[in-house]
Amino acid sequence: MPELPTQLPREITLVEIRFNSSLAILDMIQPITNKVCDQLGFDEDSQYWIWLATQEALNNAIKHGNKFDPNKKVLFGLQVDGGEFRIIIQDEGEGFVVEEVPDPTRKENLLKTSGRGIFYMRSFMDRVEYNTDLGTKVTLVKRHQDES
Amino acid sequence: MKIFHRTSDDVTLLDLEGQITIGDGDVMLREALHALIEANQKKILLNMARVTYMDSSGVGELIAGLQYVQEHGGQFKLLNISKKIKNLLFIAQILSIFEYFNDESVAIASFS
Repeated sequence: MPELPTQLPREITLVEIRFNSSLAILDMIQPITNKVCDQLGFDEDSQYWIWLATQEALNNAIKHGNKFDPNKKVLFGLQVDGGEFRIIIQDEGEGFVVEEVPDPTRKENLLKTSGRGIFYMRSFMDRVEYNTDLGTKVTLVKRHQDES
Repeated sequence: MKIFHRTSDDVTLLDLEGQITIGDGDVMLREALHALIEANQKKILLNMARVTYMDSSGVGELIAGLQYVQEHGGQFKLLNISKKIKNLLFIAQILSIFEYFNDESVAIASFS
């Protein structure tokens, strides 16, 4: 009888969903994200801010990336890799240069009514990675306590 | 989101209930504020005690609302903002552009 592994693989994809460019899907994704956060040991406050960062990335993918085009999809994934919880959101848009996004905390931008999504993602996650080779792929990273 | 109207003296209170996010509450809030200005009700107090969640679109709507009301000669103030929403505004360095209160009677008196 084969010996069962005593440890989980280092990288695990917990969830992967592809969905049409509609904000309505967020109501379904939120409880899934919160449940995984709960299992990874994030407290209620952390879950709140992780979801906020996730929602900002999803909003951007649907609105700015896919421009609400129902024929374009958004990929949503949750991964655990070592001590990191990763949330992956990829759209099918034209991509953008993240360095060119204005800093919303600069004096001249403070009264602008948009442009804070990326700022909030960076504020509430440990790391935010961008890849614009194929659409825009955003990886939100949060370290967690439970590495089992 | 749901919006309930009340008045106290010449101050209009909007009691908000639910979340202010992209596609859910943001447009509703904008329309409610525009309707008040059109009706010449220019002293507006936004009661956010029952706002459970707000994203960057909601933050944008608060800024837009403040600017719209002020541009029309009105006053726009916040009441009972939660610790989390206060944090959202604070880290974006825009908390100070709003007048906000925790006590309704104090907030209403501030309009005089």
